[in-house]
Amino acid sequence: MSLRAQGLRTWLLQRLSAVYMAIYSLVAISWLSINPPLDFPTWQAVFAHPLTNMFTQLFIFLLLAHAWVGVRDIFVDYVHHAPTRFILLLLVSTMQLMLAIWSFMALYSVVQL
Amino acid sequence: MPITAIASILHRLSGAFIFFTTPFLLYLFIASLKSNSGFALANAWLDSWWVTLLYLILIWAAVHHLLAGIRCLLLDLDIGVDCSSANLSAMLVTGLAVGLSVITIVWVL
Repeated sequence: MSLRAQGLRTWLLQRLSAVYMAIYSLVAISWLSINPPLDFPTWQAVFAHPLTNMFTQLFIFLLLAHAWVGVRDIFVDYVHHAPTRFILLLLVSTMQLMLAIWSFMALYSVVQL
Repeated sequence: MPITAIASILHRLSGAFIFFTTPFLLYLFIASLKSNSGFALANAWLDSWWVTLLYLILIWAAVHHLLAGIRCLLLDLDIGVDCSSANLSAMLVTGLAVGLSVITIVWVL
């Protein structure tokens, strides 16, 4: 184990986010198939509720973080040229961060507090 | 290739597939929340043949990734680490993912 336990931290993030996403997905799919929101007002109302809004924001954030760890693992396995790997990782990190900010802004704009 | 290797590489491939489709799916989701016309736009995208193909593959990818992920968590907890159970669970994950995807695809189409 490294001194700062960075590998352990991302390993744990990977597992905890996986558990959260599994539970969220199963609840969301069951709920949406029992009460399908077929028109825009009903659909927007689902995500305007502060609780659904927050749980969904957390889901998107953890999905992006989970994917970041997964992509990093793939790069570590297949991209052996260190500078290339660094640049690729930087690009993916930037993209995930931008997607996270964008999703936050969009979901925040529909929440009915 | 042993079944455990197949389940493992499919776990990785399905994850990569989800990673590449995430920006587009987020775009659709956000558009659908913004306005009536965005909602209609997202629905129109989902009706097109190539987005339909995309989400049919995505259903399999998500189911496989979820099942393989549960297997991975159990292995982390030292459950099913011996060779015969690892083979059995890999077979179960790969087969069940295909089976459940077919059921889901028939149900959504």
